[in-house]
Amino acid sequence: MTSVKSKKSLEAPIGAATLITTFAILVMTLGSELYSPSKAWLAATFGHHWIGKGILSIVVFLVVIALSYSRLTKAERSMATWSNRLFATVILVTVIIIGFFTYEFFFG
Amino acid sequence: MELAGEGILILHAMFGELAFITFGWAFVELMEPTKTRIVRAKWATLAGFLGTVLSWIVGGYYYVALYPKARNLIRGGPWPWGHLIIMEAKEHLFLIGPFLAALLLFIVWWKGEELMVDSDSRWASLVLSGILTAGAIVMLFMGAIIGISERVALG
Repeated sequence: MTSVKSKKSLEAPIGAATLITTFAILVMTLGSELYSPSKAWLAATFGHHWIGKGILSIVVFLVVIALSYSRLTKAERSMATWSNRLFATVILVTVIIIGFFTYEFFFG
Repeated sequence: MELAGEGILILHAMFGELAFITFGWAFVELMEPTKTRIVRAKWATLAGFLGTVLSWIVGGYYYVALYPKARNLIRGGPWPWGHLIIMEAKEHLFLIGPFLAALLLFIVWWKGEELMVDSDSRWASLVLSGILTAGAIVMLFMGAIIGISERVALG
């Protein structure tokens, strides 16, 4: 795939942050269902467990951008590779989350 | 459901539909980008991002403040899976959308006319707008199932 890069890869830290935030959402979702004290902590801290997950997702997103910025913008990065990884991750996370709640409904 | 609650739910769905249409529009514009198409794609991704964020805020308010009544109704009705599978999955999968939308928005606005020659970034923007379009339609379908689950519970 041809690539013309005339600017720094500023989108790479945001790509990495999106990927890690997607995994963080999966971990928070399953974690709060499988370990009820974590759901109670989210609810007590943020007023509602879902609001807590949303706020923590934003925090993870921003922290990963800040931490990875200097490293990921040094060299050229293929956003096609990032987006393909992201596509696979989103599909995987979607299947796991729907599968988890389906399993919980029938066998939980 | 009170009228205000219905209005909030309609707004949530409308912002979601805005995101669905504009991300799909951006996908088409970016397939073979020209200067004009990239300008349109930029505004489409901005509208999609705003639609996603506004749908998140409005839907979040509805979910936290008003939905518990419907949740109890659905759980006690003939389609309890409308909440226990569909809503549980929807409320968590939705959280991914705004971050994907932010990444797409950044790539399209940052790269701009480079997307005409940078096939690497163009592929990324096509993949992201494709995921977001598909994701938005899945959210709309799930929302419809939740609404019907409430209706069948009312008898």
